[in-house]
Amino acid sequence: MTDVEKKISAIVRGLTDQKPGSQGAVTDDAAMNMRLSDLGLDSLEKMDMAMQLEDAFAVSLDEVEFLACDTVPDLVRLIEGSTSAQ
Amino acid sequence: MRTHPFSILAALIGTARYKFGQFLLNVLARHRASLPARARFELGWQFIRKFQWLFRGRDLSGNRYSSDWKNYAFMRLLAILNNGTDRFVPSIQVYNEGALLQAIEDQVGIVVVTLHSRVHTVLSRVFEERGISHSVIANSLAVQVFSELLGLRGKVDLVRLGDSSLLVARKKLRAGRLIWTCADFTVREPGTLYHDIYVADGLFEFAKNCGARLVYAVSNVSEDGIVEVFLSRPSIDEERASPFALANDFVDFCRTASTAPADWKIGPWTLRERSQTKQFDNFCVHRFPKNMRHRMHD
Repeated sequence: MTDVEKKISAIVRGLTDQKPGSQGAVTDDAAMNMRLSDLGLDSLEKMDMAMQLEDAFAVSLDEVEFLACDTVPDLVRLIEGSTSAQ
Repeated sequence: MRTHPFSILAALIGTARYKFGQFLLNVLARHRASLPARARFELGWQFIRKFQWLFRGRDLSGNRYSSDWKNYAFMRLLAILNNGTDRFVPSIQVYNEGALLQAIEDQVGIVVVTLHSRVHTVLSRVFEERGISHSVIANSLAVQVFSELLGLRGKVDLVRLGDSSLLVARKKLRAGRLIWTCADFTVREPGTLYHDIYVADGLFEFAKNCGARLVYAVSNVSEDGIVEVFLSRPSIDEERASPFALANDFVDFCRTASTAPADWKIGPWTLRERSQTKQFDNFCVHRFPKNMRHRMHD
């Protein structure tokens, strides 16, 4: 797992841990393979996730492109694309 | 807790009274069809005020936001008047416009938070008339028709309420558009006719996260049939206060500005996003003038 993947997985885990009854239920490996749409995030939580990613990687994400991502690998591609664009 | 049979009876009688009032209003409008729209409005509004016991029935049923009965009767009258070619544009009065101008001066984006009041969509007209590009987070395309009835000329830029709405709104906010939306939502008590009314603190968190300025707005219909919009900036430091404290500050403002204050509680944004369904579109399409229904579709 690359550093980018690890950081993103940690953010995803952080969000799932906030859900009642889900604390510690998701490992880094599981986070890599899960669909973000299955997390049941509301738009405020999605915004929180986008802001955490922006802070962690010092990038500015396009909201529409972010919303199109449904897996951690999708997010990795988005982050890497945003980093190289800056 | 179960609904008391008398509550159901009172709601039925209230609905019947309101429906009868609507029927008479329709007859009056048709009978005076040759008059200009303004004169027909004056007649209709006089009728509503004179026979308000009929229209007050709206307080008792289908009024989950506990809005003022005048607002419902007013919108019904507008729908009747705009059912032909002669368009009637209601008068509006904005109070404390300085709150909006002050927020604009800061140039960091504006989030206008309001309450469902049946006439709250007048905000789109307020911004349109002042040349402020804006978007609304709402559940239904009905917001377009409601806004047009209240005098909007252009098209509403709608962000559909859902699990992506705040991110889409953030994009629009960054593009320089003002965002306005209702913060309140209702939750029905299972097995009863009662709704608890909440104000979602997530909206205040959204504004804080985006570094935007907050403006509060409440709209009512006055005794004279004028749509009054009351604006205010938060009374507490919006950069330091928590979303919960800001939500309470907004509720305090609503208690003073609304003609029908309700027992608002603070609730989570998740429930606001999920509080209604898209069936609402189909439900209300039948309530609009026929010549406006096509605008309900994307």
